[in-house]
This record gives sequence, structure tokens and C-alpha cells, in this order.
Amino acid sequence: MLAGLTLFQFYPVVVAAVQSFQSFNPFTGATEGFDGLANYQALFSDPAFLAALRNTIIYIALTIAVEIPLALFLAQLINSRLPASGLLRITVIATLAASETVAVLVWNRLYDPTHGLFNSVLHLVGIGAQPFLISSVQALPSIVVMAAWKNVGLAVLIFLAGLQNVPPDLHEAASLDGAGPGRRCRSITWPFLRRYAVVSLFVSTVAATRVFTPVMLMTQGGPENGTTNLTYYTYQQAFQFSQYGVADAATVCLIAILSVVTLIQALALRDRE
Amino acid sequence: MSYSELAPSRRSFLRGLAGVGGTAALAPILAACASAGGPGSAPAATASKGPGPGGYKIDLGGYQGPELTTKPVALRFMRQSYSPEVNDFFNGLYAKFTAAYPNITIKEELVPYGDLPTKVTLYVASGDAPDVMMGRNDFTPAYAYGKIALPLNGYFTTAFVSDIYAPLVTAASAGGNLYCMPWDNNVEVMLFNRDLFTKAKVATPPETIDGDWTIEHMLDIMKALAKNLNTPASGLWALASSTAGNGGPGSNYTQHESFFVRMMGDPKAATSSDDYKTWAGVSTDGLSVSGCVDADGAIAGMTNYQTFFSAGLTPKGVVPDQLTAGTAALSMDSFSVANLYSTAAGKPKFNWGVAPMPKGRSLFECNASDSPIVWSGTKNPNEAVALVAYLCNDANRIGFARKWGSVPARTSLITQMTEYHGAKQQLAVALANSSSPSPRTPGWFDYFNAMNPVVKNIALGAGPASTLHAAAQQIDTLLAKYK
Amino acid sequence: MIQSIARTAPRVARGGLTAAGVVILVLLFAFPLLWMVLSSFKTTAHVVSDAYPFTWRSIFPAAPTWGNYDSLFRDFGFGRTLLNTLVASVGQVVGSLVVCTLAGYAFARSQMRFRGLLFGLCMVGAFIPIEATVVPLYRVVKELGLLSTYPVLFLPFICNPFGVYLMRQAFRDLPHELFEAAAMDGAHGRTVFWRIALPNVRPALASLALIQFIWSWSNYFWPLVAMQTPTRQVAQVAMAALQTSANSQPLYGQMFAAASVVTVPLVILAISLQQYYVRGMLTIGIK
Repeated sequence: MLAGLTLFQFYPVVVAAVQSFQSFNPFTGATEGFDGLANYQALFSDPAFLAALRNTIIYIALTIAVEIPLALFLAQLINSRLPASGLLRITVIATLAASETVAVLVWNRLYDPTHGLFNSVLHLVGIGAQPFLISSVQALPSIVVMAAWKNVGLAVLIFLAGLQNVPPDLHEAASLDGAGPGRRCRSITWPFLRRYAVVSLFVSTVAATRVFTPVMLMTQGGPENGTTNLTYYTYQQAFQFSQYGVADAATVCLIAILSVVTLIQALALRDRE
Repeated sequence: MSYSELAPSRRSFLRGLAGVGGTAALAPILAACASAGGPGSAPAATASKGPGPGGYKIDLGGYQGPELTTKPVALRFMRQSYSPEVNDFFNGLYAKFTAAYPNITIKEELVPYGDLPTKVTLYVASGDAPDVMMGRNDFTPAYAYGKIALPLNGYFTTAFVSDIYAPLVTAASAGGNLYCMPWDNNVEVMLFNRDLFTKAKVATPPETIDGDWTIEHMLDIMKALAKNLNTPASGLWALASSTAGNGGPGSNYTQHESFFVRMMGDPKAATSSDDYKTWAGVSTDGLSVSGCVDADGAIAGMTNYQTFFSAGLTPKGVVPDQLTAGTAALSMDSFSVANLYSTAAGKPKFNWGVAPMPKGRSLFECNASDSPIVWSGTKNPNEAVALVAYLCNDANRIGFARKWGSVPARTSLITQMTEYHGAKQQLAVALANSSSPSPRTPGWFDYFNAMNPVVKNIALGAGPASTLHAAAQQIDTLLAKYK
Repeated sequence: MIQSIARTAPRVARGGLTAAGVVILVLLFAFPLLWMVLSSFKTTAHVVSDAYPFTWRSIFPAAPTWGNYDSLFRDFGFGRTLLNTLVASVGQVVGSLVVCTLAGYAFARSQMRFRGLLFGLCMVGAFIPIEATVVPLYRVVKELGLLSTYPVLFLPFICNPFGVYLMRQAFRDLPHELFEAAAMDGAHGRTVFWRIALPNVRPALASLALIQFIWSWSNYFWPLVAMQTPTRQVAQVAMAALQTSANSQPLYGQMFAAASVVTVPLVILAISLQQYYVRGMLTIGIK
């Protein structure tokens, strides 16, 4: 079991880390010795990498900004046990279970600038057609929206679990004391939810960093490097440009960023009890 | 029904290239070095001669190598998946081959277009690649440099090789060796819908190779079309959307966008001139592109290309089948679409015509087309080459061309096929004769992978000059590893 | 009492409105998937032409046809593809049930010295996107002679961090008394595992199985690279290939049909077994 683990999980990672310091013959794939930090230097002088770095952070920020509030909202709705809540819950789970490739293929059609459904609807209500995925500004948010749609289910489930753990009598007691819903939410629900919020945050962050299929199938990193991120950049370097050393260096950076971000989140939301 | 879906392997191949799974990835194909089965360090000396055409158990076309072994052999052939009907056609061919040589089994691996290059890379990197793989002649410098393909010259009679269109042979050769076998001829043309032109009261383009058909003229025509057809409100467009690759601009630099750049150059100009460099696309040693990719001519070409989008002449997204559906007046397509339209089953609902590509400073036609390679590390070179030769014999090539619709790669085949006597087909032949290869560099893969997003950015509004300069720098960095 | 009644009355009225609102929300949220299924009954040409301008036809097929499904199964052999995907997924489920359970148990119960460290290392794997490790992984698999065999679709992944974490958590949650009682009865080692621990973590096993199934079913990049025999290819790859298939035009009709075929069973599975799915996803999230 350990052997399997080592072979399939670790070996590639270790190899990647070690190879990030080497240079490669593009044809033979054999290493040509250690190049020190040359790969990393190449990385930081590549505008595409810097864009990827910037975008990865933006992906994370936007995803969190969109997914977490949405998840909270939906979780509250489901938790309130309204008649259609069960239906909502099912829908959310369904989108989570659907494969990412399917989601991407469908939303690609929806976003199409001339023949997409979204623009059709917008046209109907009088708003002009939006470029969506072909605009260097709109492309990233468009992808984030799609990814959020697909993945919000997980955050919803987490928050639901949290909400269901809040003892109902606390709410009763508070409302009897005259506290309105807002106040109740802040003082009672939130502290309970905080632990779950941390989890949701973490999950959303990891997912946002690994965004790949949408970038590959929808925008190929463009327009003008507007949607490329570290994962896609690594893929390009390895598979389109055979720059294996650089790809490995990018992977190392990816892991580093992810670690830093999650560390910051954990520290910021640490239980201060 | 012969052409089950539309046509040509070439375009779809490229289309897939930038598409889905394998967004490319061929690049410097890793020669199977470290692992077993390394390729010969020097291109194999030409094989010993055998009986020659007519001397084998089955028609092996131009093959003149030794008679095939009697030991059991399993040959692997990896190619893109054509339509189910064409795939069946191949199965029939293999059956005949195995009937003649029962000891040789052929195992075929079908791969969606987009994944072909990724698969080739991975295979070669792993040191265990199929004996025959579908390659493309624009990778010839890479095949040569990386010692991936077995040189084929010695195996084929001179008569056979000279029967192949000269530009294709040039494209498939490097350093005096033929590295891949031209399989079909991809000729890009401008197809147009006569009825829409009539409706818009715009004159149709000339339909011969020497007509006065320049890019400026084309832009004027398209603008008139867009105006008179009330684009986009009417849903009619001047130029059909490009559906190659993952669709949209920048999906198919080799077959599509590069035309608009390289037509602004001139192969007959002095090699140090801007005109020549624009046409060549890369330095003579194949290792740098500054001054070529961002030559003045290239910038002018891309500016023209940008006009297609900024002036609303073609959709910015993917709209499939616009020409056939009658919603676009012009379309840049492979000639196989014309072949399809010429059949009873594929006849469109409108009157149509074929025009050559417009001229810039010169008439540019790129001949990048499918060409199978024999892996240099194959354990059965004779048998593998023989298979390629068999698939390329007269009967099989004509059968394939009729089913799939691509233009054959050999002049004698064209002569034999009466359907090529028509005016449109003769235009295609003339274009094939004057075609040029893609820029010759072992890093062609890096090159066009880097160019695709650049083209897309320009189409969507980025400044051509600055974008091309940045691209040239990026490509130079990428090509550095081949020095 | 009166106070609470007074409060419930408007709440009910509000509830009616909100219920309708929720239904609308559900429809909006489920729209892309619903549209996908509806569009699978349109021909490619209609998918494109009906979208703009917006009419009821943009959503509902004007001339519904089974043609795409026909073509999918007849011309593209999708039935076989689905079978392959099933094999891969079942393999993944069985494999991970075995391996992750054992690993999880080991991490939860054994007293190995570097247990914590090993576990941490195991979890690091969760960070790495598979795309980054494909080439070295491919080489490993090739050395082992596994390419294009059915096992290659799942073997590298049966020992995955999520599964291990899930099972470790499940075993950890078992009350101590259970093991103490067993020890007192003289049971140890394997017996404890089989007779005591395992039966008590059935829900976790169900969650693991379900999630692994769904994950494997949706896997795209690895089968693309590792499975070279076209007759053994899985559904996700085949489906994506419809966009770049043997034509110069994308086959949206067939693509939607394939997407529907691939998604609907998955969704039904996830919903009918939702408690396990939810449980599993939750535990994974809580890290």
C-alpha cells in the first residue's frame, strides 16, 4: 500500500521538484544537468507567467467572493425548510455531480458571443450583446461564474451541515429576547458557522487554483493572457512547448502559492478562543 | 453516401490540434532516447533493394525495398479517426493486406484529431511508439532534428517520388531525406455563395489562378457584402466563421491565419528583405523569428486580418456550417469541401463557386498536409514502410480520395480521376503546384502554439505591431532550446 | 403564545412567496443542465440557428428528434464507450475501497512512529493537479507495462488522499469502547479490523464508493493520455472528441446527447444516494 502510494503520488511530485532545477533536451527529454535557478528566472521574465500568477490570485479572490456568499444564501434557503427547499438541495447536488467537462461544453455554448443563449436573452431585454469569453476583461469572471455554479454545491453542503448543527433553542431564546434576524445571524449563527466557513474557504481556494478544463476548452488562456493561470501555464509549458524544467518550476510555484494562501486563511480565521 | 460528414482531414486535424484534449503538444517530439528502442543515431542508410513494384504479393505501390519477412509481425498504425465510413474503408484495406501476408497483423489506433500530437509526443517520449503514425509535413524539420522518423527515400522508386507534387516533396524532406509520405494535398481556397453575391449586388471573385484577386479587393467586396446584406441583423455574414481547432480566430495558424501574413511577403525577393522574411516566417537556420514574425509585411497582414473582425465581416465566435447553411457569402476552406459540394449527396442549396486565396504581394498557398511517418525505432522497418506504401498505392489512394474528399498528392492519380478535369478542380491543381511549406523550423510546434493565442488577441482587438513583437520574442526564447 | 402565532401568520404568507421564489431559483440554477438535455434532441444546425434571436425554440426543440442519440450509439459506438467507463469506475471503486480502507485504518489505529508525517505527506498529494504529473506518471505506468489496459484507468488513483482521509476519519470516529471491548474479548489485529471496525463504518464506505465512482466517471485527462485503444476509451474523452471529430464542423447535437447520457445517470445516482454523497463530500471538505 505504501509502495503504491509512493509510486503514484509522490514520485511525480518529487521528480517535479527536482527537475525544476534542471534543463532538458527537448527531443530526448533527458536532463542536461542542473541549471540552478535558470528555470525560475525564465519563469519570472515571462509575461505570461506573471499574468498567470496574477490571474491565479484573482481566480481565488473572485471565486471566494462569489461562491461563499452564494453558498450561504442557498444554504439558508434550504435550511429554512420551505416547500421547494428539497428541490433546491437536489439541484445543487446534481450540478456538483455533473462532470466538469460537460459543464464547460454546455456553458461554452451559452456564452457564445453571436449565437449564445445568454446574449439572446440579453438582446431580448434590450441590453447589448456581451463578449463574455472573448473579452480580456470579461473572460475570467465568466469562467468564475461557471465554476461557481458547478462547485457551489460543496460549499452549500458544508454550510448546511453547519447550520443544522446550530441548536434551535438558541435561536428561540434570542428571538424571545427581541433580537431580529440580522442580529441573530451575526451573534449566534456566525460563530458556529465560522469553522465551516474556514472549510468552505479552503475547498473553494483549492478548486479555484486548479481551474483547468474551462481554461483549456473555453479560452486557452486568452484573450491576451486574461484567463491563464498557473495550472494552465504549467500544462502549456510541458505539453505545448516542451519546456519541462520551466513547467516543473511552475508546479513548485503553484504548490507554494496554494500553501501560502491557505495558511493565511487558516491564521486569519483561527479560533481566537 | 460517400462523404458522410464534411470533409478534409487536414483542417479538422489542425482544428483538433488547437482543440480539446491535445492543445497541441507535439513540439519537439522527444525522441525515444533514454528508454529502449532508441532510433538509429544516423538516418538509416537506404534499405537494400528488393523486387520493386509488381514483385510483391500485393500491390505495394512505389515500394522497392526487400520482400517482407515471413515471421509473425504486428504492426501498429496510429492515425486520426475519419468518418465511420472511411474507417471501414481502411479496415477493408487491412484485410486485403493480411490476406496477402497472413503473418502480418495490423493494429490500428484511432485518435481524435486534437489528441494526435499529444499521443505522438507521449509515445515517443516513452520509447515505445507505433510503427506508423500520422504526422504532418510541416513537422518535417522536427522529425529530422529529433531523429523520430525513418527516412523513406531508399524505399521508394524515384518514379514514385517524382510523381508526388514537387512542393509536397520539398515540404516532406529535410537534408536530402524524405521523412514522411505525403498522403493527401490540402489546398485552401475561397468558396463562395453566388446567390448571396447576387442578392447583395456585388461582383463575385475571379475563379482562376491569374485573376485580379487581391486582399484589398477582397476586403472591399466583404465590406460591400456586409453593408448590403445587413450584417449582422439579418444573420448573414460576409465571411464564414472559422470553425477550425477550437473554433474562432487563432485556432488554425498553419492553415488559416498564416495565409494572411505570408501572402504579404514574396519568396522571390532578396533573402534579407522584409518581403522575403515575411514570406519565410523564420530565419534560414530555423532558429529565430525576430524580423520575420514581426516584419512590416506580417504586421500589415495581421492588420488586414484584424479588419475582418473589427469591421464586422465575420463572427468573433464559432458558428458552425455557415457556408453550407447559406448564412455566409465567403468561406475559407479546404478544397475537399468543394469536392463534397460536387457530389450529389453534398450539393448545397445554392449556386457556388471556388476562388483562389487572395494575393498580397504574392499568391500564397500553404501545403501543410497529413503525411504518415514511420517511427525510427520500429523493429520492422521494411514491413512498416510497406504498409505505408500499400496504403498509398494508386487504387487505395483514389479510393480514399473519393470517400474522404481530399485532393490526392500525386499527379498521376489526378490524371486518372476524371472528376478532376473540371475547372474548379483544375484550379486546385494549379494552386497545389504553386504551394509552399510552413516555416521550416524544428520548433514548428512551439511556433504555432505560440502564434495561435497571438492571432486570437489581434482578432479581438490587440495592436498588431506590439503583439507581434512580443510574440517574436517569445518564440525566439522557445526556439533557443533547439540550438 | 399569541406573540408566536402573530409571528407565524405573516411568516406563512411570506413562505408561499418565497417557495415560488425558490422554485424559480431552482429552475434558473438547473437551467444549463436542463437545456443540455433539451438540446440533445435538436440537430446541430438547429442548436445554432435557434439560439438567436431568442424564442421558445431557443430552449425547447421545435422538431425533437432522437437522431443524435441514434448517431451516437450507432456511428460512434458510444455503448461500448459507456461500458468501458463503467469498468474503469467500478475498478476505481473496488480498488479504493480496499486500499483506502486499509490505509485509513492503519493511519487511524496503528502506532507507527512516523504516522503523522506519512499522513501529512499523503495529503500533500491533494494539492497537485493531475495535469502536472501526467508525464512522469505516464512513464511509470509504461514501465509497468500497463498502458491501454483497463487497470491503467484506475490503478494509479486507488490510493488517493481523499479516500484515505475519509476512511481515517471514519475509523477515528469509532468509539474507543468498541475496541476496548474487542481487546478484552481477546481479538486483535485482523479480526478487529474485519469483525469490529469495518462493519461499523459502512456509511463511510458507501460515501467513498459513491464519490470515487463519480470522480472516475468524470475523469478526462488521464484516460486521454493513458488509454490508446479506441475501443477501450471512456465516455468523457469520446464526448469531447465529438467537438473535434472527423469533420470540420463541431457536432453539437451529438455532443449534447453524449453529455446527457454521461451526466444523467451520475446525477440520478448522486441524488438517490445523496446522504452518502453529502457525508463523503463533507468529510473531505473538513480538513
